[in-house]
Amino acid sequence: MNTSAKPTGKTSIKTYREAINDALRQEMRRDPTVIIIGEEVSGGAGTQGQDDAYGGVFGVTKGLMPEFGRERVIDTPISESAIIGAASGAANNGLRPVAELMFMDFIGVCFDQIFNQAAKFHYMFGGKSKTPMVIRGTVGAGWRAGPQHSNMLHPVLTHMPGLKVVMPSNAYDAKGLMVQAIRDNDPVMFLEHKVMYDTTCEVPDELYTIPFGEASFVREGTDVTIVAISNMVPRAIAAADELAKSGISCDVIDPRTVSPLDDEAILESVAITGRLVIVDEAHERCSLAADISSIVAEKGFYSLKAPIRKVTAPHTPVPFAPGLEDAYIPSVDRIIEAVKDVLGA
Amino acid sequence: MPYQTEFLLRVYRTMKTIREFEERCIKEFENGNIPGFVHVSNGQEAVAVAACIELSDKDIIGSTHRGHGHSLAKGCDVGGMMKEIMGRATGVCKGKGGSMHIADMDKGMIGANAIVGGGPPLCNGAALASKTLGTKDIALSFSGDGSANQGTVLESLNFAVVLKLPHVFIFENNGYGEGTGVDYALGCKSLTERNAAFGMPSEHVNGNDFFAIYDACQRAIKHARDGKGPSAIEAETVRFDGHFVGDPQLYRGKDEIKLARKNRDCLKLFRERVTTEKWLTNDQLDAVDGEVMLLIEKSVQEALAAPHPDPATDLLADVYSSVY
Amino acid sequence: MSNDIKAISMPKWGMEMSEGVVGDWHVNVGDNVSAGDDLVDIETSKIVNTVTASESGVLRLIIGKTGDTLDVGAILGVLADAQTSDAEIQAFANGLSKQGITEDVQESKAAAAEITSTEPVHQTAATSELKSTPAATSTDTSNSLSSLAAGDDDSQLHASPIARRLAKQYGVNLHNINGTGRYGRISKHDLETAVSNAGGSLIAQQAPRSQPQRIRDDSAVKATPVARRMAKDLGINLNDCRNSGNRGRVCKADVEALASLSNKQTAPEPTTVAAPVENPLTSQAMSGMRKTIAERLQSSKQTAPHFRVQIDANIDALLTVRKQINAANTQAKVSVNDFIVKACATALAQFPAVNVQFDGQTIKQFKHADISVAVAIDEGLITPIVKSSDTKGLIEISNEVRDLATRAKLGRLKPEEFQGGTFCVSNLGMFGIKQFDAIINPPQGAILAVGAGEQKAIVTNGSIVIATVLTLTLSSDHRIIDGATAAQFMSTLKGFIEQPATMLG
Repeated sequence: MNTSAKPTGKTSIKTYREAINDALRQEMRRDPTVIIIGEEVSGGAGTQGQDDAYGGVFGVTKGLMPEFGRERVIDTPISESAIIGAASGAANNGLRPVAELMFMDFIGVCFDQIFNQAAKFHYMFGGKSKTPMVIRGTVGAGWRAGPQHSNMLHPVLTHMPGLKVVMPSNAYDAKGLMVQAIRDNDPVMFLEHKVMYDTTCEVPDELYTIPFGEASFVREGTDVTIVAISNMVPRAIAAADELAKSGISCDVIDPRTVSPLDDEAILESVAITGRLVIVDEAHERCSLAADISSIVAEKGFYSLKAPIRKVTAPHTPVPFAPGLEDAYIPSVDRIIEAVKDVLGA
Repeated sequence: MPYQTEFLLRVYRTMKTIREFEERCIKEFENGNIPGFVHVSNGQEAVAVAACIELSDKDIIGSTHRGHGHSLAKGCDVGGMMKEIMGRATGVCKGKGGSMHIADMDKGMIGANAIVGGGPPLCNGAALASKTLGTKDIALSFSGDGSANQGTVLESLNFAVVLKLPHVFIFENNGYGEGTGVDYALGCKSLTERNAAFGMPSEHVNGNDFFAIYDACQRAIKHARDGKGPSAIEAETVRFDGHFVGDPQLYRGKDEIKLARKNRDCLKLFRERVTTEKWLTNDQLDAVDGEVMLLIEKSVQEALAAPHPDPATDLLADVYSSVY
Repeated sequence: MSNDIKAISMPKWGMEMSEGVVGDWHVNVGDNVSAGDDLVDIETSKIVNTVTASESGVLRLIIGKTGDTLDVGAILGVLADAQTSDAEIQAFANGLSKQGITEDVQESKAAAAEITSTEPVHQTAATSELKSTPAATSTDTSNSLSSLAAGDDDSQLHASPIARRLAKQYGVNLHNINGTGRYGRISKHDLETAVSNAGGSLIAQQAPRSQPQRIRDDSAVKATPVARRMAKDLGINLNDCRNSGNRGRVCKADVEALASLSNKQTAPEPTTVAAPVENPLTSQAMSGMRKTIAERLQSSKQTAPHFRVQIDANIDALLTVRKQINAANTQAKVSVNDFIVKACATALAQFPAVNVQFDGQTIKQFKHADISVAVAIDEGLITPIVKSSDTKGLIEISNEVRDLATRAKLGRLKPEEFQGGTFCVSNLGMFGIKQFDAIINPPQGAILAVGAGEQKAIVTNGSIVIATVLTLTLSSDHRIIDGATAAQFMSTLKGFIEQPATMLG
């Protein structure tokens, strides 16, 4: 686990989508027990049309069925409970399934399989049962997908002991974290933000891992600490860069995994800045922002020079109309306002 | 003789072990030695044994909340189970699971499931694993008549057919889903027919007749091992006790249990059959009885003396299997 | 225990059952019993149910009688075979007490035992463990400190981003640090520990940035002009200063106080996280005036036996007259205190025994009332004197007091203007003080303390009316002034205050 060793080989510009595809493909080549299972992960099964018609509705698993066959890239009926249950049982018995929930919102119909079964096997069976499974799915608003296809849900998952919850904010992290998730022996919820699939950055061609529980500092500064999650990371960066023009420098921290959480890195930063703003697309109540606030208020109280500010989505379902949805998602301006607020402006 | 002596003795021993284990659980619960809830399966021994007796440790079974019988039939350790049911640190799950979550991965028992309908999806997974890895192992799930109507079970039946999984679905129809009769809760006339409608071979057997179930199970298991996919068996049986130990069973007919113990006791029926056919003698069976009683007594005494888990070390242990 | 003897016990039906009432027995002592037979009815708070035999035998003994209430697990009866002797049966029964459940309470007890976390060490990296170390500069060239800098490329070592940043800042090589953070990562705490073990402490080396500590506009903060100018020069935001000046203004002393805090060498102490309670202190040498005040008032309190006489005065009439005067004369700015000084002057003329100085031996009685009026200034207190106030009119007194007070605050009083005096008036009414006891200014014999005028309900002619009332307290030196004298003086004074017209003439 003790790796901050960076990959040293060739890199190329890849999208977030391609980076995850890379991770899956390279791991499947390396380890024959890795399988992919879900709805339309290939697509076209039992039809007259093309095989691999989709490769995942967001194209993340495109090209994998042609390479590995339908034994390892398995299209399923629309039966989330059956899918996740099968993935769990298979994980108990020698496979490393990467199951897809087409939208993470669908945990509603299979939540028992996740929190009551897979998450608990290792504990309640006295340590004998391993569930090395990844459940990947898309989260978040910004696509006009409407209330039932735009939830974040990571607070609910973070709450469950036995699960690990991963939320990459860029292509580089996405690949490293997916490889780590596949190799991890516990059930990992891998939350991909739907508006990030086309974002790009330099991604190594080789296989590499990023350990869970290690935050990344995407900007460094000494006036304010900003913690941001998933799609909020680019917004926090934009805010920090704008604030820098006024001479305000911020640490922008991307936890990358919310369970386990690198609270140590956050506390260290707040010990220097004394001011904390947390940006989280979840609804405010019981959000990760609320959770991190509580951790810092308890363990870093005497470092604080101002109350902690949370920038979150409101306590409403995600609206459909574009103007409303844009108002729902925390904006760069709101982040800037919060930073100024903790500075006493 | 169509059955080997050793086989018949093994069958009887296993059924008797389950019977005495369950009856003893009732007693120990009433003595206050078992925390929480306990659901015993006395009366349903034949189904458990018939299904599991020929399975290997690598074949996987999944069970329900009423899982002691299935676990014992699959070869789980009597002492370890009794300790687990009493919540001791040396139980098969280190006291973390208890009666409703009994499991032993080493014996291919992937867990009693406290969630109704929780087993079949997982057994699909086990079947998927063996199919993918190319082993000849199969999965076998037990469901009650009550869970047959749970969404997860219905999804799993379809899923297994679609992916042609080596999974045998055993439905133990004991007439009651908790306190509701199967005639009420099952909309169709026949569970067997409904299972068949999903697209798999489906049989109905008398669940108190060991030999009938055994034949059906062997067919289904072979079907699975030959790569032909899933099948379903509905075994009509009876439970002598309540849904849970302590259940006043007000929903049962007058003298129903008394009559059941008299006329539908699978152990009695087995004894009658094997002695009539002269496959075994009463003395041989009695000897097994004696040994089983001692085994059960021993397991209880050991469990009562076994250590409790220590909160300081055990509470937080085993949440994750790799570094958190 | 013989295998043949079996106990029939009170069962536990359901989670909540703890006891049951024995009902009818269905079998009698001596009857043969088969497994499954009904034995005895038990009633609980929820149901009535029947205990059935789990084994066969002969019912040899009934212990739970109909109507008995027994705990779960208690023995109800004994089953055995017919041959077992009664003595054995009885011995068996006696061996099992009626105590009831052997329910394991250990589990719940164990739960109450202390649970220690198995979380990684980083949780214990409490910042309260760090102490503020005195400023040891980073140019300290002790061996152990400089050795922290040595080592090969440490970029691949596992360290938290903050630790890595700080290490770079201070020129520390991570190879020399022992990591105890998350997953054995080198944390900031580890870095600080290593540095302090080597005898140093972390101090920011960067030049003091212009810190936009508070971007807030402070032009609306009430401040003395000096304070405002000083704050601007020092780059201090008035919002950050305390405001102990008059009328809640930030005064020079407040700005100086903040400035001296910030001047404590370099950094906004981020790297030496202070112990939770910080109480900055500035030591001040006593000014000359402060020393004098201290000595004189201490001596006064210790030497003169003070006694107090208190009286309330209704100043409704006074306020009306004051208004009239101020309205009629644009030069006039007569205050309530001016009236009181005038009233004292008039009263002292009638009570020369109060208008005295005492040096410990001789009482000096004066013809005229030289009334000292207490004025608060930055350095403390000064009491300029209105000489011969008994000969001066109200407006004259008012103007003089104002002039003296102004010059007092500017420090431009001549010694004879504040040394001496025969009586003192001290007024804390402008601060809302209702009543207080003043300390006599030696060599004077008495001092009058004036409180704030407040609207009060008072009884006049048997009815309750609202009036503005203030409290006057006279502290007198009992060596030279008697109680009756003081009392009469006060009564007269009250008269003048309540009926200002009587001061005319």
